[in-house]
Amino acid sequence: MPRELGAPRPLGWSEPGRTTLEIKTGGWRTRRPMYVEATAPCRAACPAGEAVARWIELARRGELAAAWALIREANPFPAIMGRVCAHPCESACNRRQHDGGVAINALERFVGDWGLRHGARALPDLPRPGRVAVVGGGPAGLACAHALSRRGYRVRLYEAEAALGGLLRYGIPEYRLPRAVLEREIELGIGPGVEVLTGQRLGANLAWETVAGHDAVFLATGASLPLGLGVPGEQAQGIGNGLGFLRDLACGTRPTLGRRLVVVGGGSTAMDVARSARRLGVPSVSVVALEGREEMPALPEEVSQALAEGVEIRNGLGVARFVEGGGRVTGAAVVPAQLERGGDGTIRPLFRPGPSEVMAADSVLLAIGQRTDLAALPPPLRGARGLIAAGKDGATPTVPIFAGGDAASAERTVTHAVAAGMRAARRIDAVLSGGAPAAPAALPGVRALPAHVVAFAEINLDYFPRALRAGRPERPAPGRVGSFAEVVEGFSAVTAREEGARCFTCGHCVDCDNCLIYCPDMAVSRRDEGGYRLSTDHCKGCGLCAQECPRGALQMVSER
Amino acid sequence: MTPMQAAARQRRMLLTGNHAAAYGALLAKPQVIPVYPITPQTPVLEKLLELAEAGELTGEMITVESEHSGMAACISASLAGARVFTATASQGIALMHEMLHFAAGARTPVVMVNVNRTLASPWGFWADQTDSLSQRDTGWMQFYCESGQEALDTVLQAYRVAESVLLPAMVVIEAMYISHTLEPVEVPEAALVAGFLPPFEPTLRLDPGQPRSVGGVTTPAQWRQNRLAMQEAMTLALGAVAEAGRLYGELTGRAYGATESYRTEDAEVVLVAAGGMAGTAREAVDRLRQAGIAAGLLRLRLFRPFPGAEIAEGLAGAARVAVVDRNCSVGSGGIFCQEVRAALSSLGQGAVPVLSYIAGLGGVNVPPERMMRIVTDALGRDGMSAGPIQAEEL
Repeated sequence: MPRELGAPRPLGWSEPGRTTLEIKTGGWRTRRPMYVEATAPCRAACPAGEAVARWIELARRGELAAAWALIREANPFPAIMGRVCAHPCESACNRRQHDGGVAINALERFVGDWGLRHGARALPDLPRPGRVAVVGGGPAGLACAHALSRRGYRVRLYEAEAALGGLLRYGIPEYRLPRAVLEREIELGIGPGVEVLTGQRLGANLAWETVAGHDAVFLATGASLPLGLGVPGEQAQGIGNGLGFLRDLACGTRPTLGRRLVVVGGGSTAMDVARSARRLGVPSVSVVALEGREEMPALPEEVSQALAEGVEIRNGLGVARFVEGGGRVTGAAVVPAQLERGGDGTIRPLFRPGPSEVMAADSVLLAIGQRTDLAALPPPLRGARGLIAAGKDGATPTVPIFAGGDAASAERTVTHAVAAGMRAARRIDAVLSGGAPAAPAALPGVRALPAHVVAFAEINLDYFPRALRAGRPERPAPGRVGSFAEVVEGFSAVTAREEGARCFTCGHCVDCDNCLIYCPDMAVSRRDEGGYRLSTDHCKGCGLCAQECPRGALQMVSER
Repeated sequence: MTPMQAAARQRRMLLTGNHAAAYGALLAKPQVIPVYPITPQTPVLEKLLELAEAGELTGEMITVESEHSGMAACISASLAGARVFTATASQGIALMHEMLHFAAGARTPVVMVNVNRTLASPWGFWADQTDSLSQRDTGWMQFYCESGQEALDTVLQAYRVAESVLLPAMVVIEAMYISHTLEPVEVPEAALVAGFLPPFEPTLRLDPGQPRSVGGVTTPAQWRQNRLAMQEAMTLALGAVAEAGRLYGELTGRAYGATESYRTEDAEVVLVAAGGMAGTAREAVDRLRQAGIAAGLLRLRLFRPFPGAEIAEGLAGAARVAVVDRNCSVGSGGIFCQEVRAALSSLGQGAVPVLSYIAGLGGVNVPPERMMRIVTDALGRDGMSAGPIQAEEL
């Protein structure tokens, strides 16, 4: 065999251990890629700042415990949120511009429901000396109590009603938020460090001094005083307020409404009132809203569900007066109208010329908003526009008293309230511990760019074949008005995985290896602990990695 | 081994040239097979996939996004110590061009089947040798096969030669005439050729456990030295080709050389041809001999390294030489002819008249009658022609 024929050792082979890594081509570079964690638009839009893209990524990998825990760092109530949140995240979702936004709210419910079955109660990290009073057991107060007790503080949670939940329990009907979900999630959220005191109403049987005697106070007393229309006839019998009706319902009372109900208002409460009335057997339920159909503050799905349940919705109308007979309401006189927003954010009806019409009614329920009861508070806390005087972080002029939720804000969604409670907890912690809250840890080697919100143009659509957004299953309308059973059903595990897979995961590396594969200089390498290392010794700054990153987790920056 | 014994250890199958080449690859047991499909080479890839699906071919087939990447993968795998096979044609080999130089310079014994096909523009799928002949100076060995049987046999011999001298080798068959024509092919059983082609075990190989680089920057002197070493390896390859062809003949009954002389001893006109047209030329020679014309054939099987001395010897007694090229180096003429003339001239046989005939360009059929007309035309000319003679116009 002439195996050794010719074949001198070819040139160009280095000694073992000596590789082209010695040739540092990085000096050619004028730009370089930066491995970043930027903010997904869903997170930027979330009042509570949930790391949505990251928890969806965990959920689709099947790590539901980690997904649940991550949501709860920003919002302790994913199962509730997945049912009642107005989900501004979905409106901001970059995928809307591709083939429909990701069904984030439904996914949150999926993760939250996993937590109801498998999650563990919140336990404190380390005991801390501070004692904090939280007044109000609604979403803001619950969130604040949760976060503080997790940090090791002892919390007294004062609730005026007989049970915790606030608006969640007394203002949202069971067909939207089943009682079992509410109670289990509160149970999971309130750890052993929280002492719950129910039936304690500030200004009645709970003295201000008792509250003020704590090391810090969070006021989350909500907005419980109903607003009126201020039109003639409003004092007639049969005219009530919607939230009071919902509260009665939650307490087991079934008010008598007659055969024809008119509900005034265009928000979620109006829908809740109207749909609850249908479930009580009221044959004719009409909603009168100042706004056009598309402008109603109620969510589109609430509107469509109400319509499917036989509720009539009349838009662009305002109630000019009520018609009564023998002291009892018999109708509402409506005229064409629209909503007028004042410069200070207030809203009022603007009547327009047009024919007046009387809508016959056996009863009327007003769902046009509430205001805060400030009577029990010391004067410095009574702020403008009927709200407790508090900044974005909940700080009032009287430190260490903080406030949040509906009592201190005009942004009245459950999620805003939760966010206010979480923010205040961080501030209270900072005040009591004397330190600043720790910055959340980014991935190893990653530069956090929280101010950079990933734009649609930064997504490489080649990696995202079109896929239709998953619809949320609903029980058929004809059957559901017969009971208060939940209308919207949860995702199956398969649907949740498919819908989760639609998420672009904007701005967050998912270890997809594209940068590693496409780098012509092999300047990208994996880190043992996850993520990638970019060798500035070898990167020539071509930008292929950033171009091929599907989700904007690599950004090119100039070297100068 | 007697011919009877050899025949008993081969299976006669009806195969196209493409499939015969694939069976040659199967017997060579390549470990890595990066291939990109292209007409008319695609059936090579398809047959390999079938054999892999059936579990007969155990090498890893790599789907690549282009021939350029395919050859890059071949080079890397070969440097890592794997036996590598690939196949291409036409635009594919043109796209590989840069990597062909790299493969030879890095001394990777890759074996590649190339199906000769016209290069665009205009588009065509027909036989033309220009695609592989354009790669003349890349440092690859080139074998031109006359049949599917020879393609199978040559793939195995090419590996043996390539791995002994550490140069890549191209095994060339023509589009349609060989690639898509069915013929009976003797397929040796694996054990028959196992000893002929033992596993590839280079002493120097890339190993992630002991990282090193290859192909990096050299000094001018080192680069020159590498090129001289390649030239020396090509010279050694001439001997290795001869030995491989002889040994293969002992095993299978089919011996091969760098060239093949057919009835040239007393020939007045010797046709020189390569590839499928050589078979036609052989038929023409027989008919001319019957008609009393002393014609012969020198078939070129090996083009790189160029067996100049062997050719000069084979043409020594000829009064006329007619080189038939199915290619045309535009602005010059037939490429085989240039090489034959240069070899004769440099070996002191420049006085032999060598006429250049271009025939069958773009896959035009060249029947035996045309070959016969080439011979009579050559006999009628007393000296040289000013340029290449177009056989279709005779």
